[in-house]
Amino acid sequence: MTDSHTRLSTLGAYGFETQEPLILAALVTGDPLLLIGKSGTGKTFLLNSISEALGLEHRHYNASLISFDDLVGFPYPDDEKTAVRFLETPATVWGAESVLIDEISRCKPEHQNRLFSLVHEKKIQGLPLASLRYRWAAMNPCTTDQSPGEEYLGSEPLDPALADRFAVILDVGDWTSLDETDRRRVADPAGEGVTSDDGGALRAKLAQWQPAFAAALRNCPPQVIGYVSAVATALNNAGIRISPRRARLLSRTLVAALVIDDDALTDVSSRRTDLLFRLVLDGSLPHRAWGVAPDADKVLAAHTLAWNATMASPRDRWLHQFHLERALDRKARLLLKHCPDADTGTLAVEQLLANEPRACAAAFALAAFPAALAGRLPIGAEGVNDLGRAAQPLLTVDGEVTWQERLSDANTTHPELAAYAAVLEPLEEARRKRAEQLLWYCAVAKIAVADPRKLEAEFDRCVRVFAREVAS
Amino acid sequence: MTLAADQGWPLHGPGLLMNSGGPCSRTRSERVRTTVLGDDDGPVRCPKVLRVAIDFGRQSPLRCVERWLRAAGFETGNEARAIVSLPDRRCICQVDPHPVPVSAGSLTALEGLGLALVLGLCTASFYDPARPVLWTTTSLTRRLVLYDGGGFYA
Repeated sequence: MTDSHTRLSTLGAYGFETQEPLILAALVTGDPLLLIGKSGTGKTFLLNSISEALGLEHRHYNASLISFDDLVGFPYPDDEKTAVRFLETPATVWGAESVLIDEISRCKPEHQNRLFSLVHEKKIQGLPLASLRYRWAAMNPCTTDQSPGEEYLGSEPLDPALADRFAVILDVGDWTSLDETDRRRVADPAGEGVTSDDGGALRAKLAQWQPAFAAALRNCPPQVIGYVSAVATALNNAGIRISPRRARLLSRTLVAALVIDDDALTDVSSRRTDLLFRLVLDGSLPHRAWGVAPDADKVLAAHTLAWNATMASPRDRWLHQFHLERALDRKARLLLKHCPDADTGTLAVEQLLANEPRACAAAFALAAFPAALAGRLPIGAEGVNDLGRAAQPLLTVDGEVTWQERLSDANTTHPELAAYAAVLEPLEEARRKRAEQLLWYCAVAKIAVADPRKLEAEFDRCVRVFAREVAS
Repeated sequence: MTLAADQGWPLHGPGLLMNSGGPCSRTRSERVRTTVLGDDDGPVRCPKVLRVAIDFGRQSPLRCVERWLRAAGFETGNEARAIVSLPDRRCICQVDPHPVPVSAGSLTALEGLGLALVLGLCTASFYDPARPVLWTTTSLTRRLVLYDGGGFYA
């Protein structure tokens, strides 16, 4: 454990060692931070302590009680009666350097909308808050995300659009997650009411990290960009939506975490950095804020896939990238333009044929085999052979389809062939003929096609990629 | 099944007749055949290049090919390919559904070697003039049609 991992305990906030790199990263980036945890777990204490240690002009609002006038002050017309001014009080947000919106999940929807621009763009009523540096919020787990033992009535799921503005979203652990030392420290009542003061150590470190972060942003490590691109693709493929904004926020947090952790920055592909990236990824998923905890196995799988794709040897990296890509035409382009060598190309094709859903594997084989025959694919003879074996039954489809017909009906057609006919009907001749081979093969081979129109469109795009290569 | 008054149902006439699970549907089947190969006039053109089938009768295919090699003055199939005219690019190959095999006895050594070389250069799915010749009883007794796949992307 390095020096940076114990900074928060010097402020009297215990049990945050694991998450400390993320909290510090949020302080470096200045991006919004949201803490989610049960009551009494130290969320508010932590954020108020940080503001004290940094000597910030701090505002702490309780979103369930706040009225909008509390934030902006009482409005009054100016002397010319042409504009509105706000009567400022020590509680108004003007001049604040850090803002903590406590119980953000308990405020009324109209207040959430007003807080939206504060969190998102450091503005209120359209007016910029020039000195605002940090936007923090805290909430109890929302009611759809509860353990059976404890309910937080009134803690509602956040609007996903608001939640997606928070760069870092952390689950704060309860008593059971504290180790014995931290339990004793928490239980010790000494120090109550004392202002947190680390002698300016955290402020000094931030002054050192923030310029380094700004410089690193201008020249972002390619591994970070590669990882974020890959993991966002993998998570979206797994049904865990990652917005383009979220991907960008993740990149920023990763860069900040690397700047803070010198050792991780020195050897980006180390085990230590692997764990750091995993931690940052977990803390960058906003779904818990609206009560949907992402499937941990899917997140781990996406991280592993993206990590390997980014940090492995160039050959393995390309293979991971090839398999990460869902669309067949993009796979085709990757194979044609970026495959490192014929052996890797052969392996990629073999793995695709073995692992993709049968309809997709068949579509790829049919689209690619003629180009492979023409020697235009960067694959060896074995790869051509495998493609050929898979494409053979599609080039000439010959089989029988069976279906059930009600006794009261007559002259019905196979239901899937009828559905496929509707897909084929509007296509131009050559495209229709190729699609017919694919869809009729699926019918004969009893391969279920959930969306034949989508499969046909993807197959056609793939054919066009190979056609361009053969024609060039 | 008949529901009667003693089962608690009002009895009118012969009672209520229920479906006791007799057939309510029939199984239908249809043959599906479609190909992009050999259709010289279709929108996707993969024309036929060659049909290859040798009827070795009761002779051993391998012995027969060895005889053809000796008669033509070659030691191996790879030597023979230099002087025999063969399709010069890869082709799709499929089993010929309507083969017309040529009797081995009616072929000259060079004619026989030409056909045997094509068969020896075919894998399960394609003909490749660049691969080494591989003669086995199985490969020599296959009946194949070769197609030019170049028109698939029309």
